[in-house]
Amino acid sequence: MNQSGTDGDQGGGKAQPRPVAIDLRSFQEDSQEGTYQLVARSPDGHDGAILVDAVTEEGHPISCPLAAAWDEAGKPLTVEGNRITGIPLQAGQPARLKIQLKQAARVALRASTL
Amino acid sequence: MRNTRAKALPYPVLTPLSDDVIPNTFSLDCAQGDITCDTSRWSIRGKISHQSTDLNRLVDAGRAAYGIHVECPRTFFRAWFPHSTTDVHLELPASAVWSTVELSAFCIASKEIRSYCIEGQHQDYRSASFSIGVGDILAFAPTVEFDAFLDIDPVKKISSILDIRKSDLRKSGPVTIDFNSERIQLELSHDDYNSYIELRADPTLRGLLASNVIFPAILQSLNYLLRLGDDELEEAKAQQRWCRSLWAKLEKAGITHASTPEQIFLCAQEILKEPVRRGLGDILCQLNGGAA
Repeated sequence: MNQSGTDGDQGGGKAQPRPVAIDLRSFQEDSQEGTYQLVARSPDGHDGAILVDAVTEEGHPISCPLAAAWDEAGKPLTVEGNRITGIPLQAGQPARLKIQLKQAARVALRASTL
Repeated sequence: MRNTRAKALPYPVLTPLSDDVIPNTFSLDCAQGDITCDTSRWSIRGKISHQSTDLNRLVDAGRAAYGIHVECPRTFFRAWFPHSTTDVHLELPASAVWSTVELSAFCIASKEIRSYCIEGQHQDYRSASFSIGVGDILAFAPTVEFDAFLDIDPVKKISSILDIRKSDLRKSGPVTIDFNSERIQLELSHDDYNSYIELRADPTLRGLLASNVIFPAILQSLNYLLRLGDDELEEAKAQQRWCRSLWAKLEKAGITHASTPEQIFLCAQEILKEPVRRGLGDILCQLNGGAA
């Protein structure tokens, strides 16, 4: 719910969305299928898309296109590239997702909103 | 590789930088005096602390091992020192490292572990177990750093870090200071330098010179060091002997960027062994005709 951003901005530029912090815990479910379980939390809540990146040890992002994503009930979510849409995150509440990478790999993952 | 934040590995990792596993104790403890050097090598002793019986069990069974990853960014030195217990002892060739050295403690898998789970893993993982490969990190500690400079001297002789020289150009005028050399450069005008040389020849006036000439220079040098940013400080310590020596003194005295001017003032006096008292003593001695 914190997507509009730039409250109090003066000037004529288009308001830029604010990034929302997403805490993510992830673990591999099936190495052959390239599936991962994600547990995402947002301290402030978020209703919109999230981006999932693989990251190097130093935290640099690596391209990580997704083949599919599901919510906790197994309902498919819309995926485009590394973007998953339609995930409501209640403030402080964990949201469980499952994702499948287009190319199965053992990676560290992080989530963001921009 | 500095361990300063959690890694989002695809399985629970024990580290104080995340809550993947609770209790999340895993540290490399090096007390003062545990890191020593002679002219040819650095000796590092320490202890890895944790509370995980599962890790102990894996290490005892030879399925995991502790280790210290040592890295020196300035010399590109990297080495891995495996350990079979939590007692750490390793030695580095003195010529291999210079300036900041990073010590990162790990526990890694030394054999494949097909159904890895660890007591205390976060409830987000539920009852999942994980496939762990050889070399995978099971636990890691925040990186510990130390300064590897073999020539840090405790300022036994102030001349090792400070030069007092005569100005070629100025007959009179104020003392100037320059911090951009191996030693602090204190430049006295022609007349002042001649006075200084004359006084220096008298051993009963050393305290007076310390309080009058050296003390303000050291105080200003400490303030200069404490104003440097982290990167500037690292560079200064790498390039300038006086920075290394005085910084070691500041660290020993517990002085940091957050210390107050009053604490820095006291530290400068401690380095010079109470210059004001010694200076006043010298003056009194002179006034009393040489009797202290």
